[in-house]
Amino acid sequence: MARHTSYKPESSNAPLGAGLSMMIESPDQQQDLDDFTALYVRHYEQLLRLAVLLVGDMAAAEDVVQEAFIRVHRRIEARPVHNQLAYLRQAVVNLARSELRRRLVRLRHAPRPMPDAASAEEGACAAISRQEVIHALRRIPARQREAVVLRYWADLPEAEIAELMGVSVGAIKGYISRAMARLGPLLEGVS
Amino acid sequence: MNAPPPVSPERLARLLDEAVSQVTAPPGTFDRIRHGIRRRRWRRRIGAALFSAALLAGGSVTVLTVTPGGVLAGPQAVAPPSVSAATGSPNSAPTSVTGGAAGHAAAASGMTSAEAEPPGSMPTVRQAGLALAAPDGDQPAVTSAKIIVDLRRPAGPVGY
Repeated sequence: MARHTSYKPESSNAPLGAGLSMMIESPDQQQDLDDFTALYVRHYEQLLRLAVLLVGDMAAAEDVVQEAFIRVHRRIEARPVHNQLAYLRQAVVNLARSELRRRLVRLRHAPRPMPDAASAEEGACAAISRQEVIHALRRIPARQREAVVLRYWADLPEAEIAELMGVSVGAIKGYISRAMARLGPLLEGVS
Repeated sequence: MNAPPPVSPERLARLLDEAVSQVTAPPGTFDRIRHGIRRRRWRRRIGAALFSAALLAGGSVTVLTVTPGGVLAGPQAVAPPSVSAATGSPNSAPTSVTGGAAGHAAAASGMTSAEAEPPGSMPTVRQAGLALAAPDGDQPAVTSAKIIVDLRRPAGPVGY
């Protein structure tokens, strides 16, 4: 099925990141970019969106994706990576998981905020247009969230998600089914 | 009361897409990534240099300690300092390395400077220097490790 052969193909023509669009002035110049830069151009934004869905805020998502790119670059330097996108995606998922774990620890040790104070996340999520969806995602377990986002947002087949998350296909099916059941009531009023 | 039905895949896909459709890479992201790569590369190089330096230093210490007659050989295995060899006969008086009034007096009386001065005093250092001085002027008489042992030892015939 064509739906599963690429990673969000409908978004592959998404505009470049502002930082890079300033550097690339003509198509010829873009031809000269090395593999790594091409990887950035093609996938940075989609991976950033994936990270936003997984960690729930923009700043942390940026950190996660930048770190993933740096790791991939280091890996490419050491030896060639066959499927760089798969490696990047896995790095993003793993780093998002680590970020959520660190956040839990921080929350456990942080002092309680004042009742009327705005949370730091509110400012960081300005680019996220549907906060209620993000909030609903944050209320389901991390594994279920990863499975459902990779399946229904990134259009990955279950086998690939299973490989990426290091579990069986059956487990992925279970995660997705439970996530859909839990998201039903959470997204009930959302149009 | 009936529980709400699970969300449909199509609806979920649409909601997820809408949620992040406005997310774009902020300016300067690529530069930050390149900066991060460069910083890590330098950190790795400095780490490698420090590791090599530590390895070299460790190797040098090992060579010094396992040299025959070195520190690990113990006091018994080390031959007495070649003071007597250098100043064995009254005629072949020590060179200026010996120095000091006691040294000159000892040379005049046929004694070594070590015998003339009390153990553990400054002549011990001179003794080590004397041991280093080559009898024939070309070959060093002892290794540096041996000098370290000689410096730690009380001077004079008592220790031998």
